Amino acid sequence: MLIVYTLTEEELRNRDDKAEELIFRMSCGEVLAMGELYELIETDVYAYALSKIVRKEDAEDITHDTFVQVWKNATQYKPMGKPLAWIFTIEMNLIRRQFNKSQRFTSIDESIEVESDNGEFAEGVINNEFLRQMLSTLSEEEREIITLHIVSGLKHREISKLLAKPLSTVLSKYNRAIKKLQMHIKEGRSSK
Amino acid sequence: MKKRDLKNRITEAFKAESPDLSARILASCSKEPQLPASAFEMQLDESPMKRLNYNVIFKRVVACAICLVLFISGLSIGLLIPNGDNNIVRSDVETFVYLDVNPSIELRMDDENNVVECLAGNGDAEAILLGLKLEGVDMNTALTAIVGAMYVNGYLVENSNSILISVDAKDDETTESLLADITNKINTVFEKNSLECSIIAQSVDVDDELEQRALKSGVSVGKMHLVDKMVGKMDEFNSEDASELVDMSIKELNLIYSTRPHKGEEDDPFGKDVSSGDVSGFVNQKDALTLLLTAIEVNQNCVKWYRVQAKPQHQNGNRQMVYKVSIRLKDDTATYEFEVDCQTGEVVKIDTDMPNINFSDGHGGASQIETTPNSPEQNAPSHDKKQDERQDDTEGSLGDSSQENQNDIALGDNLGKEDSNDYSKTEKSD
Repeated sequence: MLIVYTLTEEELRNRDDKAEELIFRMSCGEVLAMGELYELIETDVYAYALSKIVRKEDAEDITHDTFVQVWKNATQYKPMGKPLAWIFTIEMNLIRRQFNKSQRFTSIDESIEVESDNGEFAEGVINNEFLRQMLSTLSEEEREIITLHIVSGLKHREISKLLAKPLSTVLSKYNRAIKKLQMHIKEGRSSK
Repeated sequence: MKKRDLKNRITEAFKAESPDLSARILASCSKEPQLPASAFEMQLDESPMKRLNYNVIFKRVVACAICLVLFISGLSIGLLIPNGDNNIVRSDVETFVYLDVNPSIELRMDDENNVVECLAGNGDAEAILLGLKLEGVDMNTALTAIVGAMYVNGYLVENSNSILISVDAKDDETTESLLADITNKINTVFEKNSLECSIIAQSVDVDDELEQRALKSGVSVGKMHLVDKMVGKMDEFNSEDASELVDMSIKELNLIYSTRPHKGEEDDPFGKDVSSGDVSGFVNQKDALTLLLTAIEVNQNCVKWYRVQAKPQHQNGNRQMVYKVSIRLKDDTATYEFEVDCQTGEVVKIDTDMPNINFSDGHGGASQIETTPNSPEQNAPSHDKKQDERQDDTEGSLGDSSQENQNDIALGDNLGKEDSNDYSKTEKSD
């Protein structure tokens, strides 16, 4: 049986409305609205962090820090119907502040090294085989776009705005990433 | 692979990899002050050219007004029933849940298991609950937040935690269901955060008398009730021991509790308790027995019956938890008593009356049983100061040999199985 994980248009709208309501409740000091917001978008925030940093522990820390920053800044949020874009901006800033580009590249190299030496994944490294392959196959920008579009359901136009990149660039990178992944899976099957 | 399948696979993979950070985040948020709301308004004031979203401001004002009206109505309409001198219990409270680690927290919940009130039972709990607004949230969220806050505040560590949960609900069925639910929830939170925890969950019927005694002893009613049960049911404790048991930590009480069998009889006060997890931070019963048998050079096959129970013991004014190990050998009617330190596994007391009997293979054992020498120097080449002090009070003390030979004796199935049924064996053998 096929389980569909991607959200429909309506579900995305409901999620955004709910997130906005929760941020408002948080702005009134309701700390447990944070618990609900976490339940709602934990995968989105964590997936984005993982797509940028690759290391599991660092991605967890960034996820934690992002939610704490959302809590702290809830009073500053202007409801425009795009709560996720605002949260991702916070997350992007945190990642930029805590990890420069070279550190991000080092971390993915390290995780690949751990795999090749031991044949097993060390603690703190992603356990999911498919996810690891995906992250190591794609470039950072491709991972970022794929995650924002597929996991979080952001439209290409929204991603283009969020990442300050031309829409054509986002589209071409997305399509290239999809082809790369399909190719990678195909090669994996044929080698077996 | 089709695009849609690929998308599903990616989303599924990220979902599977996502950790549960809710407890950690909630605990952090409860400690983090928010930026003042005025900052938003100031920003608007300072930039008059920016588009003012009056609609949003209006919505906020209306929402705040509604909240205020609801709050005031709740205060004025909701019935408040005074209970005791200073305690106020809301009429919609149906269930009381007491959580004891060292912080003691009392959750009062309505019939839908939403928190009506959350009270701190001691100073530690006040620190935990500072900034947590649990009123109105469901029980699971409240438990997650409390455990998270306990962890952030250092009351929980990686591998040595014990929690006592006590539930006072309207009927037995609700109580049993809640005991199981809460135990499961707490276990899940601990597992997701890679923490180990042992839990005792009990039902408690709180009355004025119990409340007064708990208040007098400075403990929660849950802990007081557990101590009452121990004094009432465990032969080695009497009412004079109650004050000592009350002073013990939940972890120590849990250790004593876990080393006693619970038969689940109707009149057994422990019968409906729910317990889970090993009491971490101590050598377990089986290992303690193995260490002892190794130290006294007794083969497991020569043991007919044994019992291992934790108890407190005082050494130079300090409390120490020891396992009291009773052993009866084959072809022997006497019971020999030993003591093993629960934390180190060191044998701290031996029974010098154990006979120096050689068992042949015909008795089911392959090796010999020998009494350990009365002089500790004979087989204890190195003693630290603590060990030497201990020898003053004990009949004999063993040295490092117990550790060296630890793996020489492997416990057979017969001992492993007997472990949990030692009381029944007492009756048979007696």
